Amino acid sequence: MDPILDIRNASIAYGQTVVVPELDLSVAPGEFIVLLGPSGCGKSTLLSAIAGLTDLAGGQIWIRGQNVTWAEPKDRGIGMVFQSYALYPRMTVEQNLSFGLKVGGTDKATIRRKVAETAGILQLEPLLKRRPADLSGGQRQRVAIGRALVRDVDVFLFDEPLSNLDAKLRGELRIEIKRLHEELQRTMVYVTHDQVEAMTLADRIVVMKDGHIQQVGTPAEVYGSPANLFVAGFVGSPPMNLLAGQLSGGELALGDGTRVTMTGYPLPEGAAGAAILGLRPEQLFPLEGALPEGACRLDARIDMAEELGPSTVLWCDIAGTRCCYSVPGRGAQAHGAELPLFFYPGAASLFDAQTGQRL
Amino acid sequence: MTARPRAARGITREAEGPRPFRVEPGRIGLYLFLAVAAAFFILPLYVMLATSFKSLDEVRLAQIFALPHTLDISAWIAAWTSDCEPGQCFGISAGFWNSVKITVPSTAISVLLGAFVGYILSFWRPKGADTLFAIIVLAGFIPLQVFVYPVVRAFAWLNLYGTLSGIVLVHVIFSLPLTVLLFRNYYAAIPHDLFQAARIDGAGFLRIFWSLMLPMTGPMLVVAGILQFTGIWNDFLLGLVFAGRENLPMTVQLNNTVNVTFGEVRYNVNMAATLLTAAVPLAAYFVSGRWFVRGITAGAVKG
Repeated sequence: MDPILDIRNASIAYGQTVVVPELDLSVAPGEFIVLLGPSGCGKSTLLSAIAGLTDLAGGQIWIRGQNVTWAEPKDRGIGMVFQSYALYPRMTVEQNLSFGLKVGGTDKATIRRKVAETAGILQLEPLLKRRPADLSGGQRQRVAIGRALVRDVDVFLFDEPLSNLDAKLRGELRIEIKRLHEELQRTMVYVTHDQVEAMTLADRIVVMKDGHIQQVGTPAEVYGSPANLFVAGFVGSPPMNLLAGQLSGGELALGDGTRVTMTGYPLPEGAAGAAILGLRPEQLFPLEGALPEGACRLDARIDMAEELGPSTVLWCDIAGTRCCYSVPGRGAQAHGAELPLFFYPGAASLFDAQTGQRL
Repeated sequence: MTARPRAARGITREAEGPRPFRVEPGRIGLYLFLAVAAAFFILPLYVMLATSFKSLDEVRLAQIFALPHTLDISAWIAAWTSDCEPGQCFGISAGFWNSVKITVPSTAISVLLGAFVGYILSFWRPKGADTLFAIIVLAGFIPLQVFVYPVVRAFAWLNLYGTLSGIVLVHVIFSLPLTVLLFRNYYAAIPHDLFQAARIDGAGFLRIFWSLMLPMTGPMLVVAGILQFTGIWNDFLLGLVFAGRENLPMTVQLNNTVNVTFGEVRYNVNMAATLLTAAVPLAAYFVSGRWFVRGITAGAVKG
């Protein structure tokens, strides 16, 4: 299938400062793409370039098979939802929704029908006569989504739409956006620094840093096999445990002399030298009894425990590095307790210590 | 470590409920100062009002703080209507209508134009917008008198000298630094997202201004409107130079009335004429001041 949105070799600069250097990204129709990264990584700049609010310094942007690099925002077939909602304050919800259509010269009957349709989808009917100032944060964001929805656009752009909301509302609206995407099957590009939003919403996550794409993949891929140390550290909470060691002949020697054999890990031929072992907190587990087949053992000294309710995160010291692992339910251990932890090397991650790239 | 303060005032074991009222010397001094300051501003107004209702005979008694014996409004009538003496008319009613004809369009145009330029400088940011803004604001600091002669020459060449449109144009031009400054800074506080949302919705240059920005500008329109209206109404120099004999504003005619070089000085008429001239900006403050406060507290930008 042809991509609905195709970014070809795009670079963006503010004056002499290059924010995004040479970036390529293709988005399939109906896909939910999340641009994830720390603040200042260029994700919002990229979104505003897709919208046509920021000019490219080089490269092209294609939407639905048309080169829109020089097109006005309104002619690109995009709708955008802003972090600050950006609702027109002197207009009612109804006027907010219909403004774009009115400007576009749509006839009154069609506008009425489309506004009613959108209001139905987003449950905005009781709010239509109100002003933005009289709405709650969640309601405002729904109106902002509605304003993009009411114009039949090809690509929806979301610029951190939930970060102004409190935690509970954020969770509710996240689900609502996901439901909306499943109902409408429209293409959505969503910018966030919140990895939970990225993990739950995305078909594919694009992890960015300093304007460069670090990894593009499904949430499972990004979480399970991060492409480099940055992705490994940025995605996941609590973060991935990173243990430094020396790799030689398929065996990793950790700082304290512990040796683990990476059986089952697809090591490239002749990989050796300084390496970093990455283990997700839930990939480490304590065990009573015999060593299971193919598992490796690490010795840990318990430091403290965080009880989260459904699970408990235990912080511990492994080979001189502060690590954590999680167990379901309540599983607090005494401070200073020493116990063995296990993991399957096949599910772990291994990075080159020099380049930070996944081995 | 600092030592614990010794028995600070108001710290007692018995303290409970509302604080007892106590007269302090500082407070008395403060009210005294306020009373003197108020009297300083209110006394001249009182003298003018009292004098304007006196007959000329009563004025001659030189008791300026005395109340008039009777309310004699003949001075007001004389001040307003064409109070003609041989060869010259002093009534300022003609000047009143001239001032209205000058002030209303000048205010409307300068405020709208200021809003429009401010909108362009804040949102569309053409190349050199900041430089242009700096030049406009700097121009506001140059004394008006510097421009008088060149503008007179230019207007004479354009056949605008001494016409109503000429004086309106002069007022608009000289108002621009202030109004542009006010509106640019007002618009600078409006989130840029709003402007971009409108662009994505397909609204153009003029549409964003009329449908989106101008409706949000209420408080600043009132503020700039008051400033411009009173400023232009009270103008003397530009009106004298540019308006031409047919369109002399009220302030110029008031001056002609008050500064008579022959005959007796009719203080009561002068006071009435002055009060009439000052009444309009005063009324503007009283009427729109409420809107001004309401506009600011309504928080038009919020949401």
